[in-house]
Amino acid sequence: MNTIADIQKQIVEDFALFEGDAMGQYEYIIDLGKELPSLDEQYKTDDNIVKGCQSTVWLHAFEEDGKVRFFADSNTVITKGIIALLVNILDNQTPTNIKDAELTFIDNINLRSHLSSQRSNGLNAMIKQMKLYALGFESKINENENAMKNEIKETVKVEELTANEIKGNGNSVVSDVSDVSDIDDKIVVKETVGDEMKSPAQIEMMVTEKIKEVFDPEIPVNIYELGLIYEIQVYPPLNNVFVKMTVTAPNCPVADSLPIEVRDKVKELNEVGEVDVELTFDPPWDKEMMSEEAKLELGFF
Amino acid sequence: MVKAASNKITKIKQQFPILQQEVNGKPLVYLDNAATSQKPQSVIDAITNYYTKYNSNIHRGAHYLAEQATIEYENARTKAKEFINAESDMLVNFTKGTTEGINLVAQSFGNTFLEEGDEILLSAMAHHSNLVPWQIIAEQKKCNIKYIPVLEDGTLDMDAFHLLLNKKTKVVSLGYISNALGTINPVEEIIEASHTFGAAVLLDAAQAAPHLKIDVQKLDVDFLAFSGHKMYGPTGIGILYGKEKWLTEMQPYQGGGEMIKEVTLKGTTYNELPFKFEAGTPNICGGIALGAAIDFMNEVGHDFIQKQENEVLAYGTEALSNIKNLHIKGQAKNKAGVLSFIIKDIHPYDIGVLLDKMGIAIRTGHHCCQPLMDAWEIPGTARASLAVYNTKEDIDRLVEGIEKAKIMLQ
Repeated sequence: MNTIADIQKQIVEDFALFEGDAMGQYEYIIDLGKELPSLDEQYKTDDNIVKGCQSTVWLHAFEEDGKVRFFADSNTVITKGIIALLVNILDNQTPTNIKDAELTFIDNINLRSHLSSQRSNGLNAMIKQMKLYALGFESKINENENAMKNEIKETVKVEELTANEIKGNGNSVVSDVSDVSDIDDKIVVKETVGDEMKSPAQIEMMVTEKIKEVFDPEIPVNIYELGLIYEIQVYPPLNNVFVKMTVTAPNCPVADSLPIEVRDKVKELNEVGEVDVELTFDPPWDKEMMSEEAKLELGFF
Repeated sequence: MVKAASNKITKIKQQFPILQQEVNGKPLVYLDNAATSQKPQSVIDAITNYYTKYNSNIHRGAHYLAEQATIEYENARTKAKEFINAESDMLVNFTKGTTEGINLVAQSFGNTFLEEGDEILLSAMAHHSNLVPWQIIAEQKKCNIKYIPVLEDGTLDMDAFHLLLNKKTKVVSLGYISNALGTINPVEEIIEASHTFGAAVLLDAAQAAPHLKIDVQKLDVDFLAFSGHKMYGPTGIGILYGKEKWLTEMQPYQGGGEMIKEVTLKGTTYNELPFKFEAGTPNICGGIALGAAIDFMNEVGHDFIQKQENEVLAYGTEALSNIKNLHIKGQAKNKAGVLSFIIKDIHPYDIGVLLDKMGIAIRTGHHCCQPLMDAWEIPGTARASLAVYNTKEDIDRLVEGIEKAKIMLQ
């Protein structure tokens, strides 16, 4: 398999053939654009549009055997050619490699000199979106691995338990059976409850998702990712919610309105009772509190 | 005769230093004049002179430089007054440009005269700057906005216009010439009909000022706004003309220096026209340079400008029509200086980029007329727009460039 570095090297060599010949370079980019397969219409959705590009760009990504697959399209051929460069480099690589990729070819082929500043921003948006996908798939893969590990641990535990019981009790077989049926019952009960009544953990997740809809007006990242939320508590049975949060600076102009916005957002959930939001500056907010996504979004990487 | 004209063009072109350069290794062909025109040496000199010889604040200083600056700035106002044949200097307000002029009228006229349920009549081919300010005031005052539809050839649907006009219509605001299509709208008919219903008419003359001889009295228009930078002057300066009966009644748009007569902690009496609408230290240099741009246009002559541009436009229309799969958007009979086109299966952006590499500057996109592009279901057009220095040779380069780009893209 070709590494990201290899493919970039190849592109730089190809472009070197057109040194000083702008039209030749464009012809090359246009050819790449024509060669890149069109994206299936079903993936040309608003969700897949890369924001920040002047011409419409769609990016569709999924994970396959631990690699990220990218498929992209644009309504202009030249933009599509530039996307093709990125797709050729980053498609079918591991999420970690994509996330960490340094796209040196852009400077080496002097790509930005061909692009207007708006196009250049579009190129940045495209790269950011691809890296965000990689980040998402990376954490998904990690989660799966952890879940698998946990599952194995659980199995081991049950086995140990059964073994102990078998050891210590002559009626082990009977009691084992009843134990097992008990567990099954509990699972069944939990599932039915899940439909009607959410657990505090589930409510907490819903609250989190709601809070993610709130933005600091000056920062294009939601306040949860920004690390402004210090604590979320859900108190059953009424599911009253307590949120402890901060703002980026004590003199922040939205210090008064943001907690109210958070409260109102959370209240939109039918499942919650009273909502109490407390504003704190202890500890004060720090850049390090941002999630990886937020840092990426704001260009801290 | 033809020879004399072409000599004159050569001489005119020589006055524009920026046009004497190469871009991407090719002599520059500048065909993006509807976005902004280039500036002749005389305008550049006016800017340099101001800052090297008499920069100072106006209308207050008691010293020599301030006096000089005030005289030159007010001279420029008089030139602008004559340029549009306004009744008096006091009806000629300096603004940042057309956009500020329209915002000023929307807010000041709107706050003074508009009431809930009133109607504002706009055009579906309007530039965003003649759309958004009205949307803002309409929301504030709970007014309704109606749009005059655009026909397939790029002209206004005048039958619809007459049907839309009614007693509730308080303002009609539209472009004298469409920036995206070049259509010259039948403004005389619109103004006359609007006045029978008591509606005031604002004309966005940003595209008209560089091409047509404007006469606000003959038009009987209520407000007219234009920008310096599209008519050989600098950016950041423009003119808003208003009829006295409106301007004296209208509340000021912004508060600050220049626009006041007396200020106490209890309140303020406003300065007389035109200063009432000119809060803060103005763009003095820009005003003076706009005066120089008007001098330039007067010297070249409106008749010559129109004749030259129309000739090149007719030549360009025919040349582009001969390109296979190219379709010119906006085919009104009465048209000025704009060739807006699309090519089948090719995105306008791709054409624009490749032309740029060949040293030809055009504009691509929706030209701040997204509703119009949406109505036609196109992402935008490529637009070549003319000024007096453009020649048939420029069109030849454009056609050659398009043909070359087509081969590369298809």
